[in-house]
Amino acid sequence: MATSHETEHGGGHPSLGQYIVIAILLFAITIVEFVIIMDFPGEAEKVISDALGEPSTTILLFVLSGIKFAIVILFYMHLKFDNKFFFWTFVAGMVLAVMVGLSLIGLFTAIKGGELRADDAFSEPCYFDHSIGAHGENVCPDPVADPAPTPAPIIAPLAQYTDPPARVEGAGTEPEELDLSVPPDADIGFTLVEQYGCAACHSIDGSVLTGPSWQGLYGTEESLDDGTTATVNDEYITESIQDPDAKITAGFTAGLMPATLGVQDDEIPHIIEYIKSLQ
Amino acid sequence: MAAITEVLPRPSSATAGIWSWITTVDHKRIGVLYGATALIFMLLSGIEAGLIRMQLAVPDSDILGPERYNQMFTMHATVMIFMVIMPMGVAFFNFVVPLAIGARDVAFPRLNALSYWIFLFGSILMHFSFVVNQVPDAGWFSYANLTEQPFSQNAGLDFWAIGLLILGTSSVAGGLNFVVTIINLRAPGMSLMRMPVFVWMTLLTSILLILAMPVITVGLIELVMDRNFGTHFFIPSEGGDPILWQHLFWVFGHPEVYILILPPMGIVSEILPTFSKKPLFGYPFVIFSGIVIAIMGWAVWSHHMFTVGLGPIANSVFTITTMLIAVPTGVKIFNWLGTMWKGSIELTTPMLYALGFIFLFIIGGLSGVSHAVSPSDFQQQDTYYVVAHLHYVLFGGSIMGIFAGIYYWWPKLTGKLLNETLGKINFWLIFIGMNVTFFPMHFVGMNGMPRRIYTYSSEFGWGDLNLMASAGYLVLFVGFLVFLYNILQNRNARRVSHDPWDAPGVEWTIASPPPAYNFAEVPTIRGRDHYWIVKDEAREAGNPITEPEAAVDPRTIHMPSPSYWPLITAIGVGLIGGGLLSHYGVSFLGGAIAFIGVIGWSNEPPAAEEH
Amino acid sequence: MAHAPETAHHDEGSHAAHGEALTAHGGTGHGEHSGSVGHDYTTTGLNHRKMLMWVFLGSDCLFFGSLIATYMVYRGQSLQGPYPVDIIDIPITTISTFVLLCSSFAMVRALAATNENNQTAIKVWLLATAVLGAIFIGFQVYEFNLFKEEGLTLGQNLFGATFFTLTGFHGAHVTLGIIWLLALFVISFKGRLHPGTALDVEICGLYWHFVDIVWIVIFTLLYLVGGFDAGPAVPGH
Repeated sequence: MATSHETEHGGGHPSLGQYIVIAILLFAITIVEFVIIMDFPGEAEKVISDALGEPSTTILLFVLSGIKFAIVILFYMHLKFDNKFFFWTFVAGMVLAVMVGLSLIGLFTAIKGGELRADDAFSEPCYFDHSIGAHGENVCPDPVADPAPTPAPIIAPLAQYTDPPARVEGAGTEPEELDLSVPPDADIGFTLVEQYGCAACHSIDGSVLTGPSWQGLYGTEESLDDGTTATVNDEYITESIQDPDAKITAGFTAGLMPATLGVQDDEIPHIIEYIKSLQ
Repeated sequence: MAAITEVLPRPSSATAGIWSWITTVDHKRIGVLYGATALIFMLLSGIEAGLIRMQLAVPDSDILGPERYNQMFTMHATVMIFMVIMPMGVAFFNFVVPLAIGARDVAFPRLNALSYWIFLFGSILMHFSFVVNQVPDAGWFSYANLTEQPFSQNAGLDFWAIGLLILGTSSVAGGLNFVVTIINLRAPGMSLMRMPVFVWMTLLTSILLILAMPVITVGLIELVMDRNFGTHFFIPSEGGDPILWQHLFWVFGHPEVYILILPPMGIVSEILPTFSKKPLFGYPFVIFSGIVIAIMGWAVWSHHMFTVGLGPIANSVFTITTMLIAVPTGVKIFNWLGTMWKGSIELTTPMLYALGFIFLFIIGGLSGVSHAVSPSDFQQQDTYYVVAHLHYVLFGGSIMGIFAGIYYWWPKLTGKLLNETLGKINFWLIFIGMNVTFFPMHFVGMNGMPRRIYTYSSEFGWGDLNLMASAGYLVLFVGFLVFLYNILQNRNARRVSHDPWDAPGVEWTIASPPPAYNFAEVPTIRGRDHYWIVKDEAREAGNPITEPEAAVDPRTIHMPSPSYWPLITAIGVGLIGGGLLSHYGVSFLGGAIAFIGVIGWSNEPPAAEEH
Repeated sequence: MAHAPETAHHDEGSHAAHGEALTAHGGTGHGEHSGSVGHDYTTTGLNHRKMLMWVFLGSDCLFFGSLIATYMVYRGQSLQGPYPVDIIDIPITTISTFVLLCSSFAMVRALAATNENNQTAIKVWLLATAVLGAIFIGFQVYEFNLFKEEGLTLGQNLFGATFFTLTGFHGAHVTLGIIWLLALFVISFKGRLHPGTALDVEICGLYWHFVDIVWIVIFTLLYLVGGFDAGPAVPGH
């Protein structure tokens, strides 16, 4: 009886020195995480996280936090030294929680990630009897003549979680293939503006929506919310697209325009050309 | 407090009086409390079912009206699941498990009492909705966004959600208690692979409870917050998603199905060997298939959601896992059949119920497999076919198993057999009534009758089968009354020996009813069928056992003293829930009472212990 | 009051930990009450209460797992601001994370002091743990107030609902832990904490460290990874 008690408590606890080392390790990892994610003092760019790219940064953060997690349960909660029953009890609950969580995320991403699988399958009744087609009703796509597009993975890769999943409403607007190599062209710009949905916030008739109107905008002097002014030229528009919060027109709110629209560098001249055309 | 340093003799079971029941921490008495409470709720919920069948008996009927009808089917299902079958299971856990593993009580007797009182107050709180006439009416799985404020404006759904949160607290506490009890309080020699199947199933059920309940707790909290604190978890117009509720509900809901069926499976696995006079066939297979069910039960939940539109891949995955989980269930059925094969079968009432369980559960299992296949389920979803299926597994399975258990362990509880003739009448009425009620539902379901409609037109041609089902209900009800009569007349019955069935379990070695301390000498377990081994050896030695273990002076064995802190704490918890429904001040009062309860609890010295 | 059911849920844990554990086979010899705490026979040789706490923590994993899953499912689904990128303040939260990690260190020192029967150290470290926990809660209150001023409420958007629910229930766990620690602190003055009752401190410590690791997960997912989330990415929305 006494021996069983001793195996439970005896000998296994780390010493004070070890505890201090563990504490310092936990602090150090937290600092590393902080440094990875935050700007360095005095530098404008997030050096490390930008260099790594978003998926790698996320994975790195998961790994670091996993190490912290493991250190706490193994040493502070002394699972490393304690009876294996406790270890497996806790790990069972934890693994089940993680799996249920991942399944839920997977099931929701499959529906919401713009890959409406249910819609593909059930929205259009499709009869495999080709004679129905002869009467002008539904015809199945001939699998040989036009092969189905490769289905997107039902459970999106990790990278997809790090971006906010696209909403269902966006599922239908597939970008057209545009030839961007031509000189800046207002028509191409208009197409892009439609695709990115800029008009939801920027009017072209002078009315004030969430963002400044584009009517007659190009070439004017804008007063900014920090009291200075700036001329709306190519550089200004480029910066406003790539880093929306760099300059904020007086009377408007920072942080509303996403920097994640995905506008490509070679698309911007066309958009500028379109804005120029709105005089 | 410090004055209580001497051994406190526990009041023996002979000391009657309401106070001895209120402060009891004896697992046997708590089991009785659970069972009696569940029987009362079974009667209530059965009456609700009667009202449903009355409404549906003939086409175009308007006896109840749509609102009452919705309330009836919601409360019928909620009460049957959370306040009848689950607590009935817990009643058996309480009464049987410590006896069957050779323990003197559960690991945490006061926590056990707390579980019961919280269960009682949670149930009463939910039934209070009838008093204020704001009865839950969104079905037992209460799909969002029917449950949101715009569609359900009275407090009915708040009663439902908060009542279930409280019941969940009780279940988790009970589950924790039984996991620790079974792992840690087995008598010497009772290795895991010698544990009775019922104890195994209790262990698995408890594990499922403590893991599944937190998930529905989160869902219910989100629902309560949506309804009362302005969040939009399940409101699509604000970006929320009602499907999340369905997922959270069924992540809990499917393990819950096994929580409801595993204990009766364990009961049947105890009864069949006893009355076939043969050890259970393929014991390890029964155990491992139970473990596999408990694990796989987590991977099948979306088969309740095939028609939601999860997409063909998700539907296929869940179709496959669902069909796979039928395999371990089938394994158990073959083991039960193998147990009876060439046994000397004795058709006592418990055995009849056990056979009825197998027969009806197979039918329910087969209809279950038919909607495990998602294309087929698209046809059956939300029809009476599903109603037929779930009643075959929950009534034909769980309730039959529970009746079997009541008849089997009753003589251990009271020292007297329930009347066998009445028992057999009881069985046949229930068995026939059950089939007449629920079998026609397969057909009306396939003919397209949706569930949860309060009436139907005579043109659909569902009238005759519905009338038949309603007539079957009357037979069932009479059967239940016979059962109640059998229980009530039992006090006049003759006493029987401590081991009337010549059973193998450890619980039959002691006197009936068992003394408060259960075992004077903690037994050393000899094998899987412990008492059979002991009795056989004694018989071969020419000295057959006829007497139970000799009684001793109860004061020589220290047992935990009765305590009223569990009751006080539970009152506090109940008031916290009640306050959320009425006035937050009541919640603070409840919190204070619960806090006082906990303080008193932790300062109460365990009977014979003083540091 | 949203936390009330959960508080009830957790009362169990503390009850059990303070409650008596049945010494089932303690006195197989009749009338023998020799077993002092921790020396009672159990089938596995493990203590009931410690086992109860571990099984409970396994159960609590599912509770926080479901809350975190809700947050992750609704990530980036808010229809209107403020979005995480607008208001999440990582430097401040890094400091409060430090505080919680420090409290875990204080907790292991409190347990070590109990095992060594160093009465002064027991009191100091228990109080330190509770105070650090209270500072963490203080940070949380400050953060909640700040967010509220910035316009983030439970009803504002899904981010508000999921964020406040998840971190709120974590905060409720911490608060309960503080009450538990203070209870231990109080009874330490009656000399009731010593090597023989070290299990009381150890079980409280298990709960406390668990709350800490849940915070490690929340800090990573909600702040480090999710702290830069903006609104819906789809154009025109």
